[in-house]
Amino acid sequence: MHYFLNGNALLSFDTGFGFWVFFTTIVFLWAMNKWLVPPIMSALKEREDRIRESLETAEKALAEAEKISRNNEKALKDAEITAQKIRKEALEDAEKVRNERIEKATQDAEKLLENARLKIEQEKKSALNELRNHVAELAVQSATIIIKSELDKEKSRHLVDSFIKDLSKKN
Amino acid sequence: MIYVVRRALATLFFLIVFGPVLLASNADTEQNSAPIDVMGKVTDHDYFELIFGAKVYLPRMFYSGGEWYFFRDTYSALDSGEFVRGEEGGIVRADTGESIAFDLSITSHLIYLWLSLILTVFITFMAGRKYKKGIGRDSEPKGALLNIFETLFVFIRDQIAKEFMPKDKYEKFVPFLFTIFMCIAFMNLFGLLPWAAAATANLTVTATLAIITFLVTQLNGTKDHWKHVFVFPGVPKWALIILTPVEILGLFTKPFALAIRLFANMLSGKIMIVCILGLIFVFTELFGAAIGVTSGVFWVLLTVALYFLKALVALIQAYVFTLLSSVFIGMAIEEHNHDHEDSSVANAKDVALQNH
Amino acid sequence: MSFIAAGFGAGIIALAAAFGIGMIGKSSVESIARQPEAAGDIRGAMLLTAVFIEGVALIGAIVCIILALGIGQ
Repeated sequence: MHYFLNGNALLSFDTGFGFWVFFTTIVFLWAMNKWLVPPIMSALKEREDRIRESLETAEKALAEAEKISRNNEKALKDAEITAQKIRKEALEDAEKVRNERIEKATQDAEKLLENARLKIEQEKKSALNELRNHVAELAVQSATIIIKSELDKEKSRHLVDSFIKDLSKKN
Repeated sequence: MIYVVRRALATLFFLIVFGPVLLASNADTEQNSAPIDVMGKVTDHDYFELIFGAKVYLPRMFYSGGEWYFFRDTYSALDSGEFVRGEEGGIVRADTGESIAFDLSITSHLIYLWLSLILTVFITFMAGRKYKKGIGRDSEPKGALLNIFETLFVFIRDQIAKEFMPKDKYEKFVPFLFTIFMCIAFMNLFGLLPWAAAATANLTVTATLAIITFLVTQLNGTKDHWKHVFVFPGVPKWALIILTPVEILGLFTKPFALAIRLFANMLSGKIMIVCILGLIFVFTELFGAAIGVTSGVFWVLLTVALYFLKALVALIQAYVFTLLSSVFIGMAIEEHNHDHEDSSVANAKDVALQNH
Repeated sequence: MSFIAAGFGAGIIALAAAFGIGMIGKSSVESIARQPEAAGDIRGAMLLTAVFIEGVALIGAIVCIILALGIGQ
């Protein structure tokens, strides 16, 4: 069959034509490799890098913002804690002051009471002394009266003695 | 699946249709009574066919008998008296009758190859100019064409190059893969034009492209690659007697399969369409004009369906050629660590082995 | 004779390639159904394997064409 035997055969390798194909393809490949494709590659790469970079930057910024907001929260919490502490301290102080006051008042009252008691005691003592003096005087007067009424000397003496004994016993 | 159906159909119709045509052409070669020149649609010619069937004859230049010859076209070569048409259709020397030794003539397939390459370069150049201007570099790409270009380019870069090659080396091969892909895709798509021919349906073209892939693969092969070829690590010494020839053979079968695959796919597509349309004439001859023309409706519808399939196959085959080139190069430039775990090539190979 | 051989050869090639590609399709669809997130990787591996089978089948088909066209006779 002539399709397989002549120069343009179906299943044969045509050297001259193959040379043309090889030569031109190599030339075009070289041109593509050298001049045409590299700028496209670099442009695409540049764009991709930029997109990646901006994505990364955005992510970083997001992380930063999150960090800041977390910090803010922390500060808020800290402030709250401090405020609570201060409040607590104030309450404690107030309590302390109140207690102190109460104590002082109690002490004062006790002191007053003590003073009053001491005074009463003193008064009582002085009243007793006075009473005693008065009684003694009364006794001396009564004795004088008795003596004056001329009674038996012996008898009156005995009377006075017993009187005084009673008195002292009473005291 | 589609391939198998297509291949089965192609073989069937090829044998049904081509047999009678061949027999007919054998019976009376002088009259050349075959209704359609089936193989003429896919083989190379010394003329470039234009849209309305006009033929532009291309210059011939060849080396024969120690001398270079240049002619405006085949007919001027014949007119010069130094050459006559040979028995097989080519031209031979008038004096000795020997055929041409080294034929550097411009042929139709070569024109389509050049057109594809020039289109590829032109598109890349236009896109590159826009990128240089800053569109696509500083902003998103503008315009449908630039977007299509960038989609294709990024597809080749990410899905083909980056996928099967080491991460630090793939950038070097993107221009090669992109050129090969665009060139083959354009050549295949030219084959869809009714008056044109797919240059990839020529074994010389596909074989040369495969040779270029082979050269790129071997010239960039690492030490590990050659070690795997000649002294496969991790096997006993006696096994090398079997393994080394197999590995060396494997070096050459890869580009061979690459060439044959593309060639056979493109050839079968065109032949199938021509044959199915040729069935109109076969039916006319067998059953009369009425049945022939009526059945023509069916054949034309089938051809339309096949055309869509062919458009798909044109792109798929370009993709497959590029993908396999990338896989082979990736295998050759990979630094093996003898744990074939983390390379997708090794994974794909494992999958292939399991499926076989 | 060579026409018959080519016809049978092409038939057997189609059968074998159909079986091979059918196996690939079956297992890959199964794996995609099992792991839909790995669909991209599986598709790539599927295509690659299908292409290997197709290459072998096409070489067989070329042998059939050679037989049918009687080269070497």
